[in-house]
Amino acid sequence: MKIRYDARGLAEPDAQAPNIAKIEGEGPARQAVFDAADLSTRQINLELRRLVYYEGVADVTIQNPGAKHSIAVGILTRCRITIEGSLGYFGCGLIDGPEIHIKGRVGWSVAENMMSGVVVIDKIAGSLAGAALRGGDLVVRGDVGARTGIDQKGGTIVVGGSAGMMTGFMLQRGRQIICGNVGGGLGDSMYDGAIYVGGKVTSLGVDCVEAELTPWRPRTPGTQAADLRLGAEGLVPEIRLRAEALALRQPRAGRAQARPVDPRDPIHEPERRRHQVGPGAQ
Amino acid sequence: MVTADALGVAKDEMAAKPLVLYESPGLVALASEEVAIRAVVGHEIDTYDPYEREVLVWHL
Repeated sequence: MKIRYDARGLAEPDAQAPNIAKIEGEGPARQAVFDAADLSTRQINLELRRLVYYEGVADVTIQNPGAKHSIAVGILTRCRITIEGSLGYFGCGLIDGPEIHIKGRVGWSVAENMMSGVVVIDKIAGSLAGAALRGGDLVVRGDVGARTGIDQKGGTIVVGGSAGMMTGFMLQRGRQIICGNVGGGLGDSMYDGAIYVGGKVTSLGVDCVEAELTPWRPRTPGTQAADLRLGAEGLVPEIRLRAEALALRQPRAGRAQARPVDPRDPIHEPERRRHQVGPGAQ
Repeated sequence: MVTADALGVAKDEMAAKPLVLYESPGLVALASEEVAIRAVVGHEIDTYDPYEREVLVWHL
């Protein structure tokens, strides 16, 4: 397939929706299905947008996605999308509303920048799953690669298998539930948020501290429905991790000053040494 | 790394470089993206990504 680019570097500037989807049913229950085997990325996304935006079909199935990159991105309406196969990089990015079921695996950066919605992946995910996630739920039934939920600012990431290194890197808000083991540098440079791990943790990153898992108790009755739904108590993860940075940077009333970081603290020492450069670096 | 009778691969220690691996009884394929492997194999496949510092070697 020959892809043409315009002077700005945009791919296929004059691509058209191929108009090949079969639509069945009546009214709001209409379902559409189309085969993406011979379509380019632009054509797949144009066809998907035609269906959900202009035809008003709220249930679309894409067959044979063939691990292409950037499929089902930028969908800003509530709908259901089923992808019968695997996706490449940046699948389902920049979405706000859809419920997406991917029956294969995904490459790097799945559901990056999701605002709301649900993305469920039946197999594995590459690195950077849920990068800069803002809201919604991302569920990976298998393993995930490195830096899961990097820069996450909200939402929930649930991983059925294990996770690689630097999981929750620069996590700012939201939660992650990893049922298996996680690699080194867990929660490195995290500000806030919580990571629940069912298996073993190779090592904690800077600013990540282990906390005791206490029984869930609503702070204001009836306002913590999301926590209740996830069953923070019922899931019984072994440890709860929370950013020490929050306590350090936002001293609460009645507290004279934030607790200074002890440079000899074993949590900080190995990372500091690793990042050191120039003379004296090890 | 390829020699006359072996194929080896090492994932970098920061997991910064992409690596997708496909293994079947008759074929081992490595690429930075799955579409490249699919272009060779031509049927539905399951791939996985080795973790950081993983070293894998296949011998004939």
